[in-house]
Amino acid sequence: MPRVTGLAVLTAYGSGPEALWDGLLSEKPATTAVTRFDTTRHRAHDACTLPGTPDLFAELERLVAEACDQARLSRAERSRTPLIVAVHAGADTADRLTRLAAACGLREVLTVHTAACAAAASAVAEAAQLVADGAEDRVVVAAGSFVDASMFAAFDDAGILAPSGAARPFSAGRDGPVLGDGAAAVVVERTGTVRPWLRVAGWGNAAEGYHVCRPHPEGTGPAAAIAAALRRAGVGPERIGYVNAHATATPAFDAGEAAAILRALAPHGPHVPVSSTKALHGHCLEASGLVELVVCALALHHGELPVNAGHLGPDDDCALDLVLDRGRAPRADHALSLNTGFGGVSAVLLLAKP
Amino acid sequence: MHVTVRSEGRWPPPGSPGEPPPPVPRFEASAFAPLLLAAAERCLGAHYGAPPVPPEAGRRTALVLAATRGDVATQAAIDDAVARGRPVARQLLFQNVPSTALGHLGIVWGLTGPLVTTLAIGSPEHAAEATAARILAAGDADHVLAVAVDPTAPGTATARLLAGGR
Repeated sequence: MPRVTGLAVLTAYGSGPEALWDGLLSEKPATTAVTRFDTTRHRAHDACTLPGTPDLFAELERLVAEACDQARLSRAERSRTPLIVAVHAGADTADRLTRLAAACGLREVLTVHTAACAAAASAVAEAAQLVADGAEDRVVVAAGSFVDASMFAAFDDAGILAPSGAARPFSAGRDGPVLGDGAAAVVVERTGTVRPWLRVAGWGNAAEGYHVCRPHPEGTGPAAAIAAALRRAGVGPERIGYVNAHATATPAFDAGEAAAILRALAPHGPHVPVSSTKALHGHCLEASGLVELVVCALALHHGELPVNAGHLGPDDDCALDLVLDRGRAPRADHALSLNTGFGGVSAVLLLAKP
Repeated sequence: MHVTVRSEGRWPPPGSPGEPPPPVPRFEASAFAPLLLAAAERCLGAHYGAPPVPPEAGRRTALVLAATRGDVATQAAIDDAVARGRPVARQLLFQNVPSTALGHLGIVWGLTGPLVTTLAIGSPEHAAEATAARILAAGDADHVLAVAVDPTAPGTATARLLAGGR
């Protein structure tokens, strides 16, 4: 079964899994007033950003090297290992990623996933499948998204970002996401020489086929993706100890996702601990699936679940067992990581303790 | 895995080089989505006739896109609005990610299998077929609509409905 043996992450809490874990345990969002660009004309003014204006490709190169070092990959092993990436594609992205793979000593860029907020989970799913099938001994997966003026303006002018500056997933009174810087890299291997962080036990992907930017109220797309991930692994809903939800604090999407979780994990759905950590590290768009895989790895490793921050009170449309206070342990040894994107795509990872 | 081609659609059509794709409501800022949708509609129409496909077939049909670059025209429209201090039109946010165009196709045709969009490293036809073959080999779909797009003007797109086996 595919295992995650190396892991590196960068969020507004800082670089490394320890900085992210400390941030999650603090229960304080990494949100600050945006200084990277002028937000005067916008409704929202906050985001979870790193200092300055970091270069995405330079940071991805650093994170890939860090993850490979952690997995103790030799130079020869790296030269046989492909890279799968999840980023927003621009005019020269393919060339830049090809140079990045070469600089990291990797064999090639195999695939670049671009399906919005589902991109990174799709990238991990491809890597896991290649390793599970024996097509590759190992794959490096990297993903990144840093907040910029155009992205911020497009979301804010569409009326999506939280004017309050606080993301409140699944909560009464939620009014939208807060964007966040995020980048990560992992090594997915069939074997390996180090103790793994995680096993990638299953994965699922589905198109909802309902509306390009509105969710089906019963969450048919994410429910189908969860069902596919469980079916692939042969794991029943009673073995799900935690759900790291996509929930961006958007009223309709959170309700649809809650319905999907309850439906796909029936009859255990109401009793499975759920949180969306986007309230803490921000919404990292194309990088979400990989940053949140790291969150799940840390939660299973430490035996404590990160809270669903910003919660003001229950919403009847989100009747989930939310993790609202520190100190809760996973209910079982598997975690689900959910992400959905524009166009109605849902990508789900089923992750397990090694 | 060996794949078989059940139908194919291309834009521009044979004999009409440079012909712009038919406009698509809500995808006006760029030819990226209209291009891929024009090829895909022809491919699906050749196999299924008019939309939608039967629900069970739709559930077992995946959507795959491989493009040689991102939708730089939509990104430029957003960047231009920001530079001028003007509001970004709402549809540009959704149009700026390729999954929206495939999602639109899924809605029209009732296709709810896996949806994967990629940036091709090298040939987009090869990249789209490789992803499709992986989905078919895993048993995640019986058919894959695999669309390869080069949006560089004047733009070309090839859509193939693929299935496993010989």
